[in-house]
Amino acid sequence: MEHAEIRLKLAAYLDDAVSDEEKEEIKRHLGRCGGCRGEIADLELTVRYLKSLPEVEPTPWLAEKIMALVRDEATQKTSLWRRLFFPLHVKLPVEAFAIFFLCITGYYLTQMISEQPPVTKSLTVPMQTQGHTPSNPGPNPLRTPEASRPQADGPLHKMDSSRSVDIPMPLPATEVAPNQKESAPIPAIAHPVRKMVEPELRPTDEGIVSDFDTANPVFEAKPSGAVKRGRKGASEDALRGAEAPTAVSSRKEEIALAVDDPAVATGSIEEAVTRSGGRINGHSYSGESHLLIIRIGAPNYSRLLDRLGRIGTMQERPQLAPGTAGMIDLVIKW
Amino acid sequence: MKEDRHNIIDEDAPLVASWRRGEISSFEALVRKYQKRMLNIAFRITDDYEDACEVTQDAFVAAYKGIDSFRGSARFSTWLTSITLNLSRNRHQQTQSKKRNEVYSNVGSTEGEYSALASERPSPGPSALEQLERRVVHERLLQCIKALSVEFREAIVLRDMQDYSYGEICTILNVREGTVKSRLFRARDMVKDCLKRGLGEI
Repeated sequence: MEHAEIRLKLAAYLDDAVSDEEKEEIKRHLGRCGGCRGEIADLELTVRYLKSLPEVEPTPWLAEKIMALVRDEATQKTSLWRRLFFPLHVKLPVEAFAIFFLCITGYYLTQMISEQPPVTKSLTVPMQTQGHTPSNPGPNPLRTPEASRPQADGPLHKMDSSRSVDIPMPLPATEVAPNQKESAPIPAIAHPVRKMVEPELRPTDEGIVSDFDTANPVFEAKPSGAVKRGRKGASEDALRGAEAPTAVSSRKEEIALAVDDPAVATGSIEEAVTRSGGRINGHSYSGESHLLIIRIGAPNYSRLLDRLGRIGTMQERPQLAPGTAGMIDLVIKW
Repeated sequence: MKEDRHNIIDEDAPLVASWRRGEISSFEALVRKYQKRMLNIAFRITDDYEDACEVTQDAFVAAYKGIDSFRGSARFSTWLTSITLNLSRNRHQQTQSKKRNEVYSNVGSTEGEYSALASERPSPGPSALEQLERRVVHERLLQCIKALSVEFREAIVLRDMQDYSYGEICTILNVREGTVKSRLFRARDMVKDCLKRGLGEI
């Protein structure tokens, strides 16, 4: 090594940070080079001075302050940890379970709705399964459009023709024999509200008589405009949906009654209606014209006419066709 | 010649392990053990005692936050020193940038600060003449150190004042051993020349 190169290594030589070979070479050079000997002496003294420099002492509060800072940091770290991960460990599964539960519930509700029986199936079965008319062996075409209606229509809907006219219904279903009830599949629909509004049906000599009571708000909603057309007409009405119950259950008649004193006869006519089993739906007593709108069952119709005949003179006595069933809307004028 | 992880025996490993498990008292023990060394390193780099205290605090807090990044490939003291040195360097650079627009008039105050700090230390025992001579040499030596650029200052502080090995200095400064030797030689040579200029001879 040259003199300059050896001088560069003198600092490392002082620290014994040179190889053994370099150390021997430096030693040999120092033996013959006075300048390098003076240089290394000065460096050694400089290092000694540097090592002798006094150290500063930490203040007594330094460690305490550091620990206070660290404890604050630890608290913040813990709260941050909780804020970030506490929901992951505890809340998220709960939320996930809630979402899962909602999904499953929604899925099953969808499945239940989609599994409702088609409206064209088995017109007589709902009556049999719901137990409204256990003694009724025959079909009831009056009820089928609404009875087989899916529950999705809502529990409070009424027999509104605007909502039910599109329901298809095979005509032969109205003529189902009583013994078909054993072979018909049983749909799972049991509509609680339907039980309230559906009339009790019973077989009679005249056929099926719908014993709609006057408290039935559904059928009172549109009592007019219906014409009795017999069982065939009833079937046709059934095809048209909501018109069916009104059309078959009642017909509209008008009686003109000549009395001596209209005002006095009013009370007698009303009494005749009520005693004959009819119900007064409305009246108009004004001047010379008196009107009484009533509803009466077909079996009581002739009895009412007899009573009215004793009060006044009937200009025309309307006669019912044989086999007329259901309710009759009647307007009495005098 | 960086520290070889297989040859390292870190006497602080049990405390560090305990601290990792959440024992904050272990960390406190490390603070009390190394606070003085870190403070002196910071003080020699920043030339300001208050700055050095702040740097020391920041270094320990940073170590506490970043313990997960300490993988044990070096001694804990080496890792902590590298943190302190980095923070000290940053603080020194900030201070220097502020001082560029100020009148250089704080040599006396630094000396006074040093004197005050030195006066708090117990008497080393030498005679009054020796104390005076040493004091003059130390004051001049401090001026010479302050005149060094940061990289040379770091080399002197780590090797001659804190007795770190070359390998540890390589790890702390993240430089090769040849660079450490070169920096150390040049730093010592400059300090020697500075002392000669100030004292006539050393």
